[in-house]
Amino acid sequence: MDVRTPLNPVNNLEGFSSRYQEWLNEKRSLLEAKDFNAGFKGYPWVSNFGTPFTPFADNLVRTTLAVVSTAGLYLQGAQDPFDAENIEGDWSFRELPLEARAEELAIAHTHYDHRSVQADLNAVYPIEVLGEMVAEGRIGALAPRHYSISGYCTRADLVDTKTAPAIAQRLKADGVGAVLVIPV
Amino acid sequence: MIARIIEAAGIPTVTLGNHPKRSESVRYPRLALTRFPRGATVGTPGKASQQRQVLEDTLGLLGLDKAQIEPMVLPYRWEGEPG
Repeated sequence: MDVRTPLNPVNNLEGFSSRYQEWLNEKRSLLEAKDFNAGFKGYPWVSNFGTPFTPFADNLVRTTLAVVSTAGLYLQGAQDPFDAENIEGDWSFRELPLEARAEELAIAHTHYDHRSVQADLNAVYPIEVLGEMVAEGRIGALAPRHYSISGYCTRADLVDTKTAPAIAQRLKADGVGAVLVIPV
Repeated sequence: MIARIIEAAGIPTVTLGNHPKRSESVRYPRLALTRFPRGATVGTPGKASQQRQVLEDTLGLLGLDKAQIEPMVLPYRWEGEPG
């Protein structure tokens, strides 16, 4: 079902906290042993009803675009890495400046194969290719700040109430007109 | 889920993923899916023209006048090492 009005709540987290605690208590030892296949059986995946929708009323050639990545990227030496050892993951986010170069970014996310992104950052975080599209006039501009989270985060409730609203606030402050979300 | 919060806050989003099953229960407003290995959603490393095509197709979804029912599955083939 499409809805063109804001959903309240946006994500269906009813009962999540109790189901989450039950799952964590039961699967903690499996997660600590890094048996994620078995550990994630019974995880209370969020299943949503309805879809929020904001019409894109402008033209991409006049729009400021931002990227939100879940690849676990961070500015090495300037930002703390995500906690890749915590069995509950890490719900924090990092701001990635537009001018950050590939060699300045590191990955703190142990749940995917890094070979492609180490060979070419654009494979998960295509800022360079998007920059070429800006130079050719296909996109108005890229935002001064882009966002990185760790895709391994079991606390859907904290992502919903803390992480996402904080990112949305910054996107608005930067006049972002459209967002490209790239989960890993 | 972050995409939904940003969308509800009034900024249109488009998501580029490669996990159809997980995406189904999230219900993204606009979603393109590639068939590339995890860790290379946008395209084969070093293949800028492929990555560019994926991005053009994905950003094109911004023109939709309502949320998708089904995601747009992109047809491009992985050109790298077996994933």
